[in-house]
Amino acid sequence: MTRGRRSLADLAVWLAAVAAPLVLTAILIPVGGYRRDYIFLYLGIAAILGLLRGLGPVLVSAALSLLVVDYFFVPPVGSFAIADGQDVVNLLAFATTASLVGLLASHRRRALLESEALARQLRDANSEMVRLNAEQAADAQAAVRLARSEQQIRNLVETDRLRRDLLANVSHELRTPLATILAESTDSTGARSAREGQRRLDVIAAEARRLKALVDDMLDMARIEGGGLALHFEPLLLEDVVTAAVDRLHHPSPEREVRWDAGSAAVEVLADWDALGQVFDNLLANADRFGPPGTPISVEVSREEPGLVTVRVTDQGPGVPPELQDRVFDRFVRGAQTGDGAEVGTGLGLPIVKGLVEAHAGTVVLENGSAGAGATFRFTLPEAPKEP
Amino acid sequence: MSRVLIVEDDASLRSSIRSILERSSYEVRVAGDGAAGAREIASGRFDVVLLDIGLPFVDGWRVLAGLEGRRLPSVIVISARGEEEDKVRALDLGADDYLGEFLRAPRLTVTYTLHAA
Repeated sequence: MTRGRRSLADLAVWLAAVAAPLVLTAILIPVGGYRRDYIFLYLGIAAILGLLRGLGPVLVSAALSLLVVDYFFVPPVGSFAIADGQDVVNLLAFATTASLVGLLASHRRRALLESEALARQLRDANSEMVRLNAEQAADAQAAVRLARSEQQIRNLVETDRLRRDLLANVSHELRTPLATILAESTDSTGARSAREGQRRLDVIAAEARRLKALVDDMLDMARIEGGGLALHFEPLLLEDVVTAAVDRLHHPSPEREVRWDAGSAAVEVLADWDALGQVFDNLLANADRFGPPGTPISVEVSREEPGLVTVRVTDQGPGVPPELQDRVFDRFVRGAQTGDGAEVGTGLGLPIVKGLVEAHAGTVVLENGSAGAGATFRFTLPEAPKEP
Repeated sequence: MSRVLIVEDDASLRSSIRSILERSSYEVRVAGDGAAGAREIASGRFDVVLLDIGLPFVDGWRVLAGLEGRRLPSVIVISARGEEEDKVRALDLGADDYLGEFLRAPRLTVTYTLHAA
């Protein structure tokens, strides 16, 4: 209720407090006589006023009622004197009762007002809570989104770090032979003899070949990883593949003995000729690099699982040290070189083997490669389907 | 005669640098990994160490860190990685120089470093 309207209502109540007893009296006088019961009507006014407004108007109307009744109804009529002692008691009783009613009514009214105020507070508190809940929910959603993008950022940072590491490794691998070539070809101290000059040229040629092998392997690796391999699968006699690979090994290493059984290799596998050839070349080259001179490499073919052909390439070298065993198919992981004579590998031989074997739906693992016992690499190939 | 230690795991590069320096009358010793390199530095007296970073077993950063505070030998980090942050890191760890690029004139660099020390 607005201030204006409230004070208007207040005014009305106070007016009623004054007017009601007078009006009532005006009604009752013509009816005539003094009736003690009239008191209750005045009490009624007091009660109503108490409910409407509270103690103030009650007391006013009670006092007014008292005077009016005393004057108009209590003998002697027409004066404020009271003749009968009983009437004094009655009037006092009336005054007390009216005040009590007024008091009770005003308490009730105050309680009502208070509970209305409480209810209003509760409503406000409730809507505040609803708003806070909504805010909290929104905050929680925002937090989840933030966490997700933080995770995405972390993933991106990790991918970026891996990429930069790879780039640094690749550039290191390429620059090292280049450094040797430049060192040998630009040193100004000049060759002191033709033999020295020839030595330099040999070193430069060897490093250049090494660079070429590295670049070729890197391109293969890029094709394998980028899904750009164009493999042509056909039924191949494994015996033919092994014969050709051993032949190729004997160009740089004519004395290396390779033991294998042509009979058990007389199986047909479904593979790409060049890719399978490269798998054998890399594994044989590794075995040749780490196997001491005079020791053989063995190639075993077996059938251990339905539909698959299993090949094992074993050398008699020092084996793979335990700390390298789960990294052996990673890029640029090299074992300790056995002696100066062995040619350094590109570091990509085994990752390429893994990529190519997996492109044939096979698997390759290092088998019993404990240090000192030689290394065995086992891989599987799909058997060519039999002609119906 | 000045003594130089080459700590480099690549055999060809190692022997190329070695022969260039020996032709210029330096006394050269070599090590092929970080652990051997650290051992050589501890037991020998070298004036200059050419230290690669990408070494097996113990990498060049750890060898370099182990030399902190010592005035000799002078350390030239040779590394084909060549990242800018590697250069900063090497110099922060006390290296006297960083040869990241194609090792042009290792002889001149070693001579210069010796005279500057």
